Formats: sequence, structure tokens, C-alpha cells
Amino acid sequence: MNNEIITQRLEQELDRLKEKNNIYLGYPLAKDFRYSDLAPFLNLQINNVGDPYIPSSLAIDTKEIEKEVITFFSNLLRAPKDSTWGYVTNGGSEGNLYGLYLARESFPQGMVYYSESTHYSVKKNLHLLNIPNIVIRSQENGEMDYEDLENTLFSHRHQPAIFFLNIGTTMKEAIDDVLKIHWIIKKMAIKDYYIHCDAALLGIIAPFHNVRPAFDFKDGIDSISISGHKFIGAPIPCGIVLCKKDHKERIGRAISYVDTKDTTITGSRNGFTPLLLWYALKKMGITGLRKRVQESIELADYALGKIQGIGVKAWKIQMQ
Amino acid sequence: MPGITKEAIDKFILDLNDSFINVTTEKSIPNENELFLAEYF
Repeated sequence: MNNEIITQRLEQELDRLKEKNNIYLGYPLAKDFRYSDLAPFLNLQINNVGDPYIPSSLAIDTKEIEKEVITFFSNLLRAPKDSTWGYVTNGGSEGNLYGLYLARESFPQGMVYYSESTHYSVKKNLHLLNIPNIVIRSQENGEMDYEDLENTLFSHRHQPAIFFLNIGTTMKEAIDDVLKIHWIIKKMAIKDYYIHCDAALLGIIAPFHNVRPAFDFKDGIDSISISGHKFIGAPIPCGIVLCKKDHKERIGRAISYVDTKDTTITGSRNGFTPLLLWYALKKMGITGLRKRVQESIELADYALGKIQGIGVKAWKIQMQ
Repeated sequence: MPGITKEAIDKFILDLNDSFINVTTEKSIPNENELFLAEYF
């Protein structure tokens, strides 16, 4: 194909994408980012193969940058400094797959409990991992029905329990309460359990709520998945997964020909998306993120008022 | 979400208002829980 035809085709595609980017509304995807400064990296081979904390002999990676991104999120989610591990994923679903994988390796006889409001990809992940699971009813607001959970657990007390919780459901932004889960665990005297949080939607937003929901490491979780391209915004889907280091140690295998460890879902890993997240987080900082959250809450309140104004009985979960 | 403006919301409301009127005259009023912005676009 000659260059003129290639350029023409690319221009068509660019115009189409610009138009679609301009008009989409209602999806949880930020669109105010500019990453042009990172364009020179697109002409380089970058591959973060294997464990981000173990340099590979390949060396064409951004693992130092990736570790800074992980440290940022670890601090945000009140993770213990030396006993937490993580990596930059291809998005929330991979982080959830990873969390469930770690849970299964910790408790091969475990049963997974998750609400009916859970993201569609989780059923697929459970199928891939072949873990027995039970769907728990949701409350009207999308939050897990704790009474139904308690009743269900009662018949399965002999099995380790793996709780898959939502920190912001897809349609209603509902948050399952980690402290209530701990209360039920104690009440049922369950000794072997694992808590994973799907915080794809709210993982980077909830820490800035005036009343912080219970969902992070200090509240007693084992792993968490957060989306990067949603609230931060990115032209390539990405996210992060964090877990207690002990869980990760169970799965690591050495890869001799690149001299690192296979502790992630894929082998070759994206080295460009850590740059995107690092760049955005450095530019915004904690102050910028806090402002971003506040402005988004105000915009949602504005939209709610307008929708109610035309007679629709709309509602939203009130964030503070 | 960041990058969405109040003007975009206002335009959406105008469009939604038109669509809503069309829908309600032809069918029943949609359940409030079924009215999601994501589905509209």
C-alpha cells in the first residue's frame, strides 16, 4: 500500500475517533488527558516481562517507573510498606483474574461469594479458574445483601471463603462494606478466608471521599484491582493490581532465559502504560486528584438535578 | 467523569427529553432503574 493511501486511511480513522470521543457520555472514562510528551517512547521496543521488582536480562523495560506507580497506589490504599506487591495490568478484569488466582492458590478448596451486581467478566474469570462460586443477592442500591450472604455461608462453613467485593458496581457505583464482611466472618467463626476488591471504578476515587468507605488494606483486604484508563484516563486500557506479598510468593516461578520471575498473568507485559499512569499521577498529584474527584461529584449532582428536572425519577448513591 | 462539561450534560438533557417524550407516547414509561446514560449513547 502506498504512503498516500495509508495516510488517508489513518486520517479517516482519526477523524472518526475524534468525533466519537467528542460525543460519548455516561461511560466512566475520562477524556481530558494529553500524553503527547510520551510520543518518543512509541518508537522503542518496551517490554516489562515478568515481575516488576526483579529486573530481567532483557532490560528494555520501564519497571522502575512501574514500581513508582505501584508505590503511589500502595500509599493511597494504606498498604503495609514491605509486605505489599503489585503490577500494572491491562485493566480491571486482569486484576480481578489475578486476585481470584491468588485466592485459589491460597485456598484450593475455597468457595467464591460475589453479588449479582458484579461485573460480567468475573463469571468468566471463575470459569477459567474453575473455582466453585455462589451468587449473592444485591440490595436495591446494588450493594451486597449481607443477610443473604450470612444465610448462604451458614451452609458452607466447612469451606474456606473467598469474598469478591465490589467497590463501585458498574451501573450504580455501589460499594460492598469490607467491615461488614469481617463482622460476618467473625460471627461465623470462619478461619480460612480471602478478600478481593474489584475497585476498577472507585479505587482511585474513594480515598478522596470525605467519608472514606472501608475497602483497603488497612480495612483487611488481601488484594485489589483498580482501573487506570477510567478515572485517570488513557488511550490504552490499563490498571493496577495490589496484593499481600505472601500470596504472590505462592505462584512465582523462575524464567531462566530472561532472568526474572513469572509472577504475573501474561509473560510479556506492556511497558508503555506504566509511563501513561506515572505521567498522569505526577502531573496531577494528590491535590489534583482530590480536586478532580470533587469536580466529578459536583458534575454528577448537576446531571442528576437536570435529569430529575425533566421528570425522570433518577437517583445516585450519595458520595461525601 | 473528567473531561465532561456541564454544556454536554445540558445537551444530553435536551436530547433525552425529546427521546423520553417519544418513548412515553409510544410505550409505557421506562422503569427508573432501566434508565442508564450508558445505554442511551
